[in-house]
Amino acid sequence: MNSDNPVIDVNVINSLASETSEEVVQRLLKMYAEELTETIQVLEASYPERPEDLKKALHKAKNSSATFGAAPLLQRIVSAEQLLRAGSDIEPEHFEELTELGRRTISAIQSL
Amino acid sequence: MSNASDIFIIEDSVPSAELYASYLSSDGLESTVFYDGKSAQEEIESKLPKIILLDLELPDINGFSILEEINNKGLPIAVIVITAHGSVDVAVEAMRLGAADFIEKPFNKSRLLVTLRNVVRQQELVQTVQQYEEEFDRDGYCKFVGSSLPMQVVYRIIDSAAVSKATVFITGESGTGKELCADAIHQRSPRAKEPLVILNCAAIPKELFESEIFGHVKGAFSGATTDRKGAAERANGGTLFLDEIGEMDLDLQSKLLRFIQTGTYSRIGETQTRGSDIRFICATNRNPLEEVAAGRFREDLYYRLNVVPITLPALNERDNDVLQIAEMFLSKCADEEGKAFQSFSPQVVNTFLQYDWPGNVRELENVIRNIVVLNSSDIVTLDMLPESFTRNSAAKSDVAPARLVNAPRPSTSGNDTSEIRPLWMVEKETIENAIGIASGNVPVAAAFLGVSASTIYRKLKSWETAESQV
Repeated sequence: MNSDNPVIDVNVINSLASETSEEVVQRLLKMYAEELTETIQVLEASYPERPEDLKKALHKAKNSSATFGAAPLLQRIVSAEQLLRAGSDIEPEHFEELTELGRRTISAIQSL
Repeated sequence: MSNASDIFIIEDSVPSAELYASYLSSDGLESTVFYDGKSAQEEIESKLPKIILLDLELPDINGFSILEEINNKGLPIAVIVITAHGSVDVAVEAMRLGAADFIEKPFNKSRLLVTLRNVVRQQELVQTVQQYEEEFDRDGYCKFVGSSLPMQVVYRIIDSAAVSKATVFITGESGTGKELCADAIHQRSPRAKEPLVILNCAAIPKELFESEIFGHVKGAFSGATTDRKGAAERANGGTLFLDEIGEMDLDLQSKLLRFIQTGTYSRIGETQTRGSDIRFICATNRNPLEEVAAGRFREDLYYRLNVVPITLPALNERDNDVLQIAEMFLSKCADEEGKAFQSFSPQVVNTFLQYDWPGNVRELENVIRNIVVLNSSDIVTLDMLPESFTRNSAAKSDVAPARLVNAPRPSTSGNDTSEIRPLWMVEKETIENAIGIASGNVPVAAAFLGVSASTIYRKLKSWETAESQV
């Protein structure tokens, strides 16, 4: 596993591999990458008019990000969720950063 | 548990759900994954999984609704709720709605498996308790009223003993229902259609006792103006219940022993030997072994009679039976007296539960009858309780175990009494020791001590109250 990916904590990935297997982890990371890709698409299609769809998509990505060690993305998602729950909007630049971080996380996963 | 339909995982994040399934399968546990709530709901009632791992935030419905549905329908499914990190209030709400446990994400394999094993163990314990409750869940038995665990044990013994001819020896405090017990044994026996003859050994003058049991012929003694059948003859083919057998004198005890051993007897004044096929039941409110040790009861007769011992619990050891029995008496007495009583106030219920009932069921019946005769209402309130009952009840709550230590000791005529300690102290130490051995688990300690858990809790509470008053 490549340890130079700050968007992914490889210790988490290594721990998952020890608890399951290398093969299982690779399969799950592929699923995570696919899920993130779909999530970004839903986010971009829903922003800014459909906050409920945004919330659902963010929640799904939050689960997996926490599970697969994507701490920076998780933090962004949590912030965005809190804003939406409070009835506030996500600023366009923050939304852009979020989706960009999502893409970087996908690249990092694919390089593992 | 290795069937895929035993464990459901309901989680909308595909990689997360697959990871959880991998954790389980690496431990030999199969599972079925659902990515939304509705598809899971369709399968839950038909497949009845043993465990559900449930994410609360699903894309189509709120996971709480699944939890509520399972709880409301009483489905035997343990739900482990997956909660987000830091959402304690959500976890608390989930537990309130019946979740068996919760697990905070992200979690690793060992955390998941430990949680699962705890839940499985809890389920097994619940099932065991349910099995016992189903087996022991009798509100009454023959004329007995009561569903407490100590009485379920009595019912089970009667079930087993009734069908045989084995002699039953019933012990228990006065007023605990020894005659009811004898009646139940007879009614459940193959001899139910034959006579049940009851002799109260304490109520019969000693000089007439032998005649009561064995009968006499005309002229056998002064006053024997006709032949008379004794209980042995009247109970032939049936059951003979000798209540208060401890009152029987030693000479008669030896004749009774011979009768039991041979099945033959003679009427007083008769040389002819008669045979009788009898099933014997005996009862005493004394400690039979103490009576044997004191030489007041023949040891050989005791062992001949004590084939199936049944000890009837005191009323204060029967959990909430006092309320069931009180309700029965209230209904019966109200009918008989033409009164409208239907229930007890919460204060009266509490008083009944706290009271020791030294006179057991007989005392309870007297109290209820007193209330019904002297009052008119549809509900029994505290002010209706007899003064003597209220006085006894207050006196008992005032007596703290600590004060008994200072009570004057009875004279012992020079015997060494240094080893004798107050009974309450011995009892307290025994209970505390059992709880310690059971690692603080009161129900387990109670089971080993042969009493109900509520008895232990009541005693612990009374000791706490007493200690706070010292």
